[in-house]
Amino acid sequence: MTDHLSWLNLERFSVDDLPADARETTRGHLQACDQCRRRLEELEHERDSHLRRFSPESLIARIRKEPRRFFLFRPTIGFGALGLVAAALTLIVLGPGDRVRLKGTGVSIYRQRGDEVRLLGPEQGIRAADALRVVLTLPSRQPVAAWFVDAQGRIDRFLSEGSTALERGERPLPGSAVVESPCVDLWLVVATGAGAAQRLESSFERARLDRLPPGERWAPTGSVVRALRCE
Amino acid sequence: MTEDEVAQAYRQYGFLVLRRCRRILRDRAAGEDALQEVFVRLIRYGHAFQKAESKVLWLYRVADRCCFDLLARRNTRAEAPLGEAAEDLGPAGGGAQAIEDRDVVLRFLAHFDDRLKKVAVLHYLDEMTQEEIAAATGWSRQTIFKKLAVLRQRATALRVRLWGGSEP
Repeated sequence: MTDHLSWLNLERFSVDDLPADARETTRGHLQACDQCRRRLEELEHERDSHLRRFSPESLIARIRKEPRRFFLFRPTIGFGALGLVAAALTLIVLGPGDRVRLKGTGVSIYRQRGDEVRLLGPEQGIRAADALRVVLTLPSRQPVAAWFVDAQGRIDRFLSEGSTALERGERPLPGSAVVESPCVDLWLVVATGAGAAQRLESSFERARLDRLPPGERWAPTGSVVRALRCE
Repeated sequence: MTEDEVAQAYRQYGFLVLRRCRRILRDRAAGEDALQEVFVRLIRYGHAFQKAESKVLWLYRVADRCCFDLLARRNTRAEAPLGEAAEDLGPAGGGAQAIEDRDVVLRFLAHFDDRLKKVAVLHYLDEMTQEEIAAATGWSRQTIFKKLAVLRQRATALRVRLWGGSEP
């Protein structure tokens, strides 16, 4: 774009995030270019003033104090135990109405409330602080994207990279979700196959532009939707 | 990731994430909210972060996502005066026209679809070339070329609406 280093390049250089060859090229350019050196100094100054204003301790405290999202990762929930119970429940109590199936893909949601773990049926709701775990049943190995949308139109992705490839069979999605307080109705939308995340992204974007109320109509054709209503 | 590991990542990269969020959102308080959101996701997806070759690029992907979600929720319209944004952004290549395009595009980022937002951020904030954007997104060079053309057209139309005059 220019004869100078890009911001991205400088930002990565400032925290030693560039590969060795790019780091050396950047270092060489900086020795000869006043403007880029000034930009780098600006970044270093920003880092110092940032840490003075926002300490890591204050960030952690804020995260602990204000769970703003409608679900939060909760590493202490005992995923292993929940997974085992979920698998057992799948074998024991799964009824025909408990699972949504479309083109061979099934979605089961397990709710942990206190010490009780239950497979969520269509009539059962959620409450604040419920922990939710999603288990997919897939007919073959394929990419999967699973997003939540809530009644306020907020979106949360279950998978940080947008989608992930899962093997055939019953596969729990990594992590779990904790319903925020106060509870807000949620819809889980699951898309599978190539471009799953992009389909969700386009569909949700269209829904927003068309000002559709959050819910089933946000989901792209062929996806699986589970509504989770607050009790 | 443990809280200590998250705190360490924050010490090292937090200022870059905040800087990016503020530039995208053009709002200091919203930028801080987005920063918090990014690190909540880091707690949640720490395993992917630890495996990432570039920690900065991983955090930026998450930051962009958080900011786009925030923009969509509030459907932002002109949040900050153009002068302030231009100061924040510092010098850029391509002459006055490119700087004006960048300011208008970033000011109205909320009005674009997510793909256009992504290209706008990579081009106008990160100052990536078309080849670099194509490599980063996995989209073809032709797609990037078209999207940049759309962004420039929109920028021109928005400038006309804001300050009058006629489209070339």
